[in-house]
Amino acid sequence: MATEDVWEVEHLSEFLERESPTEEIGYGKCSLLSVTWYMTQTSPHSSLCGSTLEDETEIRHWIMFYLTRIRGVLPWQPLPREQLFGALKELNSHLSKRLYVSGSGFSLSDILLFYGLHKILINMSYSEKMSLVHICRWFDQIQHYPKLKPFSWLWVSCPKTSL
Amino acid sequence: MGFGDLKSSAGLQSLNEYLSDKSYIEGYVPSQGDVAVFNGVGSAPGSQYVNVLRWYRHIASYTNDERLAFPGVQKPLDQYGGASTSAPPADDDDFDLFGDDDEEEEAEAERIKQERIAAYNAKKSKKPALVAKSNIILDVKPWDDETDMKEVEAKVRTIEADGLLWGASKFVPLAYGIKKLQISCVVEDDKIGTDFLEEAITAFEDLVQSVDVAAFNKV
Repeated sequence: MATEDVWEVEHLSEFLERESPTEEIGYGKCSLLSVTWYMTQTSPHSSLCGSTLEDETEIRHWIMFYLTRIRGVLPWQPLPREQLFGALKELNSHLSKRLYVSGSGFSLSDILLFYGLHKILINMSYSEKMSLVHICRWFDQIQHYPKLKPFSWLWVSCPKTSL
Repeated sequence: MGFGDLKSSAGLQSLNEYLSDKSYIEGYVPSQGDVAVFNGVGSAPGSQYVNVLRWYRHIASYTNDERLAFPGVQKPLDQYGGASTSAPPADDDDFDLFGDDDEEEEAEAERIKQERIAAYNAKKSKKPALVAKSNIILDVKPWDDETDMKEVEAKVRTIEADGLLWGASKFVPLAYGIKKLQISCVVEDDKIGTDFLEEAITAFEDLVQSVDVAAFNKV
């Protein structure tokens, strides 16, 4: 696992109220997906990994989507802008039909995408955000999630499209 | 203010707009407000109401018992939607113990309120809308020490766009006699992004090797 992933892992362990598993597993050899999945499964919040096999598959899919299409396989090498925006458009149209990214509710994929998209959305202009309204609605919903409140100092303003 | 008749297309349209930037009817968790409106809508809406459909499917994914356990108290349907302050507090009438017939007074109060609203709107329309602006400092690096930095600066200043204003610039020595151009500009956030600036400047590829944002401050 790359050093860039530590940020996500540390925030996640804060969220899950458990230690980050530096010692427990071969930290260096696992992907972010496996590490976060293991952390969630062994925490009191294992329901974030989905309750049915369908949910679980979908959650894994969207975490992989985040890792490959939004963050890029090599985190230190950001994806070209067109590719990133293509992926964001795809996520946007997915979220036009869903309240949460996968399954029937809040899940691990929401958390990881939230951490990942935060860095992107905070640097986005208003007009760019307006072209991704469904992502913004979802993001606003997630950043109001009670346990993610400590992030409020990093609040991202989301465009209001209704009164 | 409510959404009107939720069985009609106008009602669904207003609910659709309301839900375009919200996940739930009230706040950030499912509540009895969702149940009330859910029951009001009755059946899954057509796909043209994409926001209503998304919300409807999500609420429908809960069982009846789960829905009953949502927090909050159900209010009449017409009290959901829009944080409109002009909605009359309906409860007041119920507690009017003395039954005063103060219609005249109410009419007078209503007239004064209307006047104030008109005055406020007039005042607001005169005030120019606040535009979010940022002060950006860009570092423009040339290919080598033979690049004419004066020409680079002139080229950069030829970039014109709505909401973009170039400011002071200076040449900063880098190494081996190479200088970089440091130029500041003020942009309107809604109209110009740093990506646009970087793309526009790197378009002079004969002169410019790279462009970096050295500083980005909200004004």
